[in-house]
Amino acid sequence: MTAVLTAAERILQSLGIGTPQEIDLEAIAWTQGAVVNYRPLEGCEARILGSARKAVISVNSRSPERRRRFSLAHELGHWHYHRGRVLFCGNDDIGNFANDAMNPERHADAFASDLILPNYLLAPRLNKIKKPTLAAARDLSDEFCASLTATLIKMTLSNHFPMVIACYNKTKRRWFERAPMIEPWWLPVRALDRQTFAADMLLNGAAEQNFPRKMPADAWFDFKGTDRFEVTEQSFLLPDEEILTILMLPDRAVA
Amino acid sequence: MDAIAQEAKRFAGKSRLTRAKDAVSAFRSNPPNASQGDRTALRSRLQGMRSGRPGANDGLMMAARKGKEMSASDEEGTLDDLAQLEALESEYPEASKE
Repeated sequence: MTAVLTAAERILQSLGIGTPQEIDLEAIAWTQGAVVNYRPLEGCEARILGSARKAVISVNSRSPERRRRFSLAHELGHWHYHRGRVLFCGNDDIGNFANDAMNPERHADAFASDLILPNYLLAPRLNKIKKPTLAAARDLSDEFCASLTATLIKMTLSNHFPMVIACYNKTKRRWFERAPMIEPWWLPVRALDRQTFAADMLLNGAAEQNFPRKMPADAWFDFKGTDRFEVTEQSFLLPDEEILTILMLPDRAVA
Repeated sequence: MDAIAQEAKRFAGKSRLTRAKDAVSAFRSNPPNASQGDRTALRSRLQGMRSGRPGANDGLMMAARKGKEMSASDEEGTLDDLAQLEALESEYPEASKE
């Protein structure tokens, strides 16, 4: 069965793009009637101004390359979906995955994810991966020139692995994503349990684990009966004293 | 037959992407002349967009990723973008068909 292509994937295929290296976002923007400037921006990561046919996108030249790429792809998402609208989005609108599905920022983020990490190029690579380790995710993020976070979100939502990713700061969970195959009661705890390797990294400065480590599931999930299970965890530090953890769940967690 | 058609389609798409890359390079080396003359009119247009009043955006769109308060330098940059947008409308009428 052929997978249904998303809007972003249709654009890529219409341009004959068959490898991640061919995803030249500025050229793609041009085909959509948009030009791109790189300049220092103080109040945002990127912005778009558009008329009915043309758009000018400015991206913060001070941001790292992979963030610039995602920001540009995000603005192209607005260009695709939100012509004629004036949208002001705050810091909390982005990466806040508790926001509802109608949020235009989520639409633009999903478009960006599909443009940078299209399923038709990603899926064959995921099929070759046995476990969603940090090393595997880093290889993919390098190949697609995407951030590690964006790559892991895509890996999770692609439903190839029984996994959850969760981001924490020192006091609480910031956001999480769960593979659609996972039973809905597998919700990561609201604050990091101090026995986890993630807490050891974030709170005590421990080094990153080279491979996923086993942990009793009740350190990460708190529904009744969790203590019968084991999960694996592997984390990496994010800026601003946050940590992102990959949790691999047991077969019993799959719906 | 389908395979031949698919290959032809892919080839045409790649050609379009190559032309777009060339156009981006040309645009970089010779951007359209954005008139900086009527800064006041541009500022008024931008203020209309930001007011949120129905119809005040004059058919334009605007969005910002991870937006906070717009600094003075951001506002000037936005006016530059607006001027560039107007120049594009007149100088690159066929860009979206590239």
